[in-house]
Amino acid sequence: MPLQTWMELISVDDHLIEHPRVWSDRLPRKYLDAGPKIIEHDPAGTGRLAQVWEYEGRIYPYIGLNAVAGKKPEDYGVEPMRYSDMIPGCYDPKARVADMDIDGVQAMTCFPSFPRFAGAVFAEGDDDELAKLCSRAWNDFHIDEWAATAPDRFIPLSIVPFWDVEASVKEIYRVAEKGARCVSFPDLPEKLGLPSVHSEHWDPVLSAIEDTGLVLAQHFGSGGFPPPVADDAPLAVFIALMGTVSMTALTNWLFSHTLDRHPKLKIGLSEGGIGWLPYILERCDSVWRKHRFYNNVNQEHPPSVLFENHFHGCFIEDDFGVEVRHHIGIDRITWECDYPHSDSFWPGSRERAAQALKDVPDNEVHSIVELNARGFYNFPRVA
Amino acid sequence: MRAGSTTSPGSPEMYSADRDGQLSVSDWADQDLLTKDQARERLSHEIARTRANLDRLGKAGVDAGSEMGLLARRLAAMESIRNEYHADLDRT
Repeated sequence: MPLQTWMELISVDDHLIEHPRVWSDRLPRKYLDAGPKIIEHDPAGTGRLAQVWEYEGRIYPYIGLNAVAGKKPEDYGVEPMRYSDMIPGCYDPKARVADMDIDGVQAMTCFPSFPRFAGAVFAEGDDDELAKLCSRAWNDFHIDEWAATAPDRFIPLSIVPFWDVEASVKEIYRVAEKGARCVSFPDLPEKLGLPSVHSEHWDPVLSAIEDTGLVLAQHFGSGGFPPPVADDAPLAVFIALMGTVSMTALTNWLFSHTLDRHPKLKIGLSEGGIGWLPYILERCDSVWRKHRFYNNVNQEHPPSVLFENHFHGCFIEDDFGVEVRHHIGIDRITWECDYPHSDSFWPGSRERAAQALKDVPDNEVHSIVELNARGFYNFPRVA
Repeated sequence: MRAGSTTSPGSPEMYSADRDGQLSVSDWADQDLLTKDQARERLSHEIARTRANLDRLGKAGVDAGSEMGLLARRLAAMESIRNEYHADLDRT
């Protein structure tokens, strides 16, 4: 069997649900009322109370979608719920490790939930000081509390107050010093009303990420931009197309001059799958060959060179991607678990990975499931 | 709403957020968490499969002590977690 028992599964895309005291434990007293807190709310006026986040008076109904006992997949919708409805591994790191143990997963990378994947909720805050403190508090929670529970089991992730470049740079150096291994960054910042990756606006942030050796993790959807679908399309259309947002994000990077200014930058395309990569790389190179002369793009090398030097993708279920792995590059592929979303194969993630990789040589499997992630995220095995 | 305004005056609004509701676009509108019921069903399936594997290894009589030990520990962990879900769900 290509997936050997001694190979450790490292997942680069998972999620956590923040417990109710993440911010109240860390914010200054003057901000406890305005900062994020869990309140009881009756969204439908039916008398059925839900636990929801409130931040500066705004209510955010989703502490975790659909983790409602007894609910069938066909009944999934967008509804609020309570912590007691969730499996404890969502919000309790010790329970998470227990679930990882039976799933055969050694380590994982947990993105935020309430703040959104890259902390964009705080970008809409009215109080800038509070917003930055909230962003910082999430990092302190994640690194000091969540990841510290089992340092060899969680790859520490961070968010930054990306609406303020100078503050972001400071936070990157701070979290790197505390042990962070990656920074979650919006996949399409222009959709958040900020400059795109084509501008020089982000150079100080990207230089700080380079300098600290962190991975810039772009989770699809973190820029808040959905794939374009018909208003009356079923949710399935939206779900099926989510990965195309990563395709858009990647193509923007590849035709920008930005990566030429940041030769050491490592970018992870989180949860977007990998099967589409050979297509878009071929397409980008073709466009570059035919159209580069009148475009403000690098004239020296095709875009695919930048992919080879900067990016890695990940997959949870992408048999075609595994089949065309050599077109992607074995050293560009990582694995993901996506716990605790229902897309995950828990508690059979290891078996599913073994099935997906059954025709892949052992050394390639080892790179895909463990070694590549350990290298990108500077997360060596503990002796 | 500061994004854009502090760094790029006059840039388009970031996205709309209903003062009484969720952002118009959620990062994970397509994401569903595992329910306890789903988790229990998945565990039951995996427990049955693991027991069958243990039986098969036991009957084979080969030197599979190490593998059997790993399987037995995983089985016990899965049963323990499933029992917690049983208790939770029976109360509701």
